[in-house]
Amino acid sequence: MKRSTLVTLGTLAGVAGVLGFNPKGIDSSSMSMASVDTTSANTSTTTTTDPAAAPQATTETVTTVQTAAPAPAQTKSAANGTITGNTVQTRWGPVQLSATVSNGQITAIDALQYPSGDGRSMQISRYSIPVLTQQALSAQSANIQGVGGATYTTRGYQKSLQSIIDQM
Amino acid sequence: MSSRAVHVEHIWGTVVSIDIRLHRSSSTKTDRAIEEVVNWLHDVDEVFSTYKEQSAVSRFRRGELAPDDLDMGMHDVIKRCARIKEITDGSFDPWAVTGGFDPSGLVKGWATDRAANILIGNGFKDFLINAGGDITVRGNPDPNELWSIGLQHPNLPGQLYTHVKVTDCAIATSGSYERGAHIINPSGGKVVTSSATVIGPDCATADGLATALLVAGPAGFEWFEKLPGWSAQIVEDQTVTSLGEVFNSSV
Repeated sequence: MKRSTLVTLGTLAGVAGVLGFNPKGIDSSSMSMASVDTTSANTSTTTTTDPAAAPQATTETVTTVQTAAPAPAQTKSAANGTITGNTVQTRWGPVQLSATVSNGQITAIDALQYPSGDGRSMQISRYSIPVLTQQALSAQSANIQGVGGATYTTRGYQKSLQSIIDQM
Repeated sequence: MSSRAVHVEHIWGTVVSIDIRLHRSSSTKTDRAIEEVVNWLHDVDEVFSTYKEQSAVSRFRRGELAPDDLDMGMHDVIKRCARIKEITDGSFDPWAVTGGFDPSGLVKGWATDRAANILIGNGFKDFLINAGGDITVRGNPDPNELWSIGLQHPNLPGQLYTHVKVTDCAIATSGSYERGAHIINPSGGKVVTSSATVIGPDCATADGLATALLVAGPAGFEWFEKLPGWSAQIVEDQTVTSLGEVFNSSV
């Protein structure tokens, strides 16, 4: 399967996470496989991400992507148009999102329903990593001025993007 | 890119990068400002290193220093630790560490806040300080540009998983990936989250909150959502959960 296809499916898997629904015509297990392939080329096993498994997890948040058991990857054609998600009850009230998809890429995400909250508009969202990674890939080729992460060692720094930025 | 002065200091078992941008600065005395910051970082190391037997924090842990013997910096750190323990419902608890009170989870950020103030005091408005992965930015990297900060993927070394565009804030990440599982859950449970990143006004609080969220996982959003001006992102396996304006506006 071509890499571009993997990225596309990973993106759609991410939308499913945001919208909390399964797009018709796309097998969710193949999406999950695709999303794992996109970022974890050196990982052979897939771990199930289950929000209920975490103690006291905020399960009322928008449904997460289920990273299902490995299944044969399938290629599906990219979607076009607007996808409207189900209304999801969150602790801050009902949330409903829609995504505009063009050639399999999300071009916009709009909130159809949003909790207004008490003064501060609280936003909580879940994405699969590939969605964010795709954005980061485009950002990496652009201009990054700093790299954040858990405390690195002196040795870790030598191999980091931050050390390259410092020498530019 | 506008002209800049960069200094890289190996300290605290990690690396601190200082990147001063000069596009709207009247002062060009970056050497003096950087020297002042570096001296401060070393002073902090002398007082707060748990690896140095004669540091104030080591003596305090062994009960050789009474609270009255502590200098003002130490008092301030203890006070902040107590406050963050309270607002995080005990998920950040430097008193629950084996061997006694260990404020290391907050000191790096606390020292970075003061480093930023030193640069401002020297007339610089636009800079980035990266203290081993915890970032503090002021102003802009170039005129009318925001700082673009990549966040390290918890499981794929050298790769970013997302980026944010920010100004005048601190970004701290706590992860179970870089130095192994060194984060302890004060309530005894296992830490399952791979990383937690928070963004807000100051680096000391950011440092403590990131550690607390790594311990608490998404359940920590219960107390985190009450903190005005703060955003957070938690990574678990392939799932990223975000709370707050900064992360959601970048999508």
